[in-house]
Amino acid sequence: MPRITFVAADGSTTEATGDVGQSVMSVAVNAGIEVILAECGGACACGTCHCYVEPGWLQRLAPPSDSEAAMIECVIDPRPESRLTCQLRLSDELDGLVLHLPAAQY
Amino acid sequence: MAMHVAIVGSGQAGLQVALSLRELGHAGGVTLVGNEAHLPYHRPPMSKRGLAEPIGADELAIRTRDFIAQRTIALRLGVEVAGIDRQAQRLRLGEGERLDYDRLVLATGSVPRRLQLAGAHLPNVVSLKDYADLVRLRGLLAETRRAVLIGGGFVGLELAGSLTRAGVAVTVLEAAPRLLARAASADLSAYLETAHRARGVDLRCGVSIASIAGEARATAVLLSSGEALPADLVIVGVGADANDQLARSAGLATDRGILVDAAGRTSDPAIFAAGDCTRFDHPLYGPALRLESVNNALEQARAVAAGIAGQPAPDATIPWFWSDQFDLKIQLAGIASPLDRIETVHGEGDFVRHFVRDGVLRAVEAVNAPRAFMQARRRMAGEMASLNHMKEPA
Repeated sequence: MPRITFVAADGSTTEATGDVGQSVMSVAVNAGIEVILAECGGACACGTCHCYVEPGWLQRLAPPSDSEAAMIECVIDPRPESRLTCQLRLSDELDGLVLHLPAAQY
Repeated sequence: MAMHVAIVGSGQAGLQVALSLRELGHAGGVTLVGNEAHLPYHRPPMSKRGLAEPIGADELAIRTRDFIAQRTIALRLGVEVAGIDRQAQRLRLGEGERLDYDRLVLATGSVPRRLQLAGAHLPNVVSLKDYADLVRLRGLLAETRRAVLIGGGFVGLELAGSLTRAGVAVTVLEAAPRLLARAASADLSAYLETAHRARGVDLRCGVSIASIAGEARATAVLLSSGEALPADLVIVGVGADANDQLARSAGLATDRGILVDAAGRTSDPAIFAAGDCTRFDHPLYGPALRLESVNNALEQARAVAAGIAGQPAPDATIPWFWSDQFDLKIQLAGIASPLDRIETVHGEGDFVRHFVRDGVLRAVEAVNAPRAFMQARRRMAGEMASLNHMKEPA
C-alpha cells in the first residue's frame, strides 16, 4: 500500500497509507486531516482539498485537468505545485509522496 | 455557561454545525441525532459515481468516527426524533427517551415528493435520496435493461447519464415543457436536452403520466396519450420538499420550509435551522429562498454555529451548485431571473451564459467551462462583498 506523508502548515506530519486507485483526498480524510475539507465529496467542484506537492514529486503526477487547473486558480495562495487531492489517485509509483497542507482552505 | 447543543439531522448541514461549533471554541456538549445508521455522508456522489462504482457508506463518510469522537461530538445515529418540547427545551426521542437542550438545531433536510400514481408502490419503483436507496437501486440494476426516469431534475439527469453508461436504455419523462424549468435558464435547458438526446437518452418533455403498469413488479409506464413505455426499473425524481414537520408540530414559523434569519435563527430564539429544510431572505435573490445544495447547507451551518457562539452572522454569499451528467460538468452560481439580460460568452468551454441586471452579474451557467465559471463566480463574490459592505452602518 502506497504511503503518503502530509505535512501541516505548522510542520507536524501525518503518515497514512491507502489502496492503489484510491484518491489522496480520501486517504487524507480517513487519516483525520482536518484541513482537507473536501466539501463536494471529491467531484473537483469546490476546491477545498487543496495541497502543495513536495518538489520532486510534482513531475511524477498526471497533470491536472482543465477543471482542476481552473479550481486551483481560485484557492487561497495558489502556487505552481498546487493540486487538488481529490484528483490525485494513489499508485505504487507514488509510494513515499509528500504533500504540504495549507493553513486553511478559506 | 456550557450550553448543550442538540442537532437533529446528521447530513452535511448537521455535521458542519457540530464541527464549526468546536472550531469556534464551543465548550459545552454537542449531540448529533440522525435517523440513518450511517456516519454523516456525502450525498452528491450517489447519483454521479454511485451506480458505476460500488462505493460503500464508509467511503462516502464526510469524516471518520474517530475524527468526530475526538471533537467530543456525541453521535446518536439510527434514532428518530418524535417531537420538541419547547417549554422544557427537550427533545422526545423514540423509545420514550428524552434529550435536554440549551440550543437546538434542526437540519432535517428534505423529503422526496411522492408520486400519486397507480403502481408507484411497486418494488422496482424507486427514488434516490438516502444511501439505502442507492443500495436498493444497485440491486435492481442487474436485471435492468430499460429504465424510465420520471422527472427531469438534476438527480434524474445525473442518473440518466450513469444508467446509459451502464448499458441501460433510458427514457426521461418531464411534465414541464422543458428540463430544469425552475433551476435553469431556457438556454441551458435546450442545451442539455440536445446533449442528452445525442448521448442516447429518449427524453420527452411536456408529458403526462397515467400510471405505472405491473402486478408484482412495474413493467411499463403508461402515458396519458395511451403510449406504454416498457421498463424494468422506474426511478421517481420529481423534486423534494423541506422536511419541516418537526418544526411545524412544535409551532415554529414555517412556510414550506423553516423560516430563519441570516444567523439561521427560527422564530424561537433557542432553536436554529440550516440546510434544505429552511427558507431565508437573500439580499440579492429575494425573500423566503429555499436552496437544496451542499454549498448552502455548509454556509447556513457555519452561520448557525456563529449565532450559537454569540458571533455576528457571516455575510450573505453567492449560492453555487454543480451537476455531472455524462461528460458534462454543469456549474451554476447565483440565481438567474427572467428579469436579467442574458449574455452569451463565446470561446469558453461548451456553454457559458451570464445573467446581468443593472450592470451587476447575478448568475452564471456553464457547461464544461470551469475557468469561465470560476472567473464569473469570483466577480460575483466581489460584487456581493461590496453590497454587504455598503449595508454596514457608517
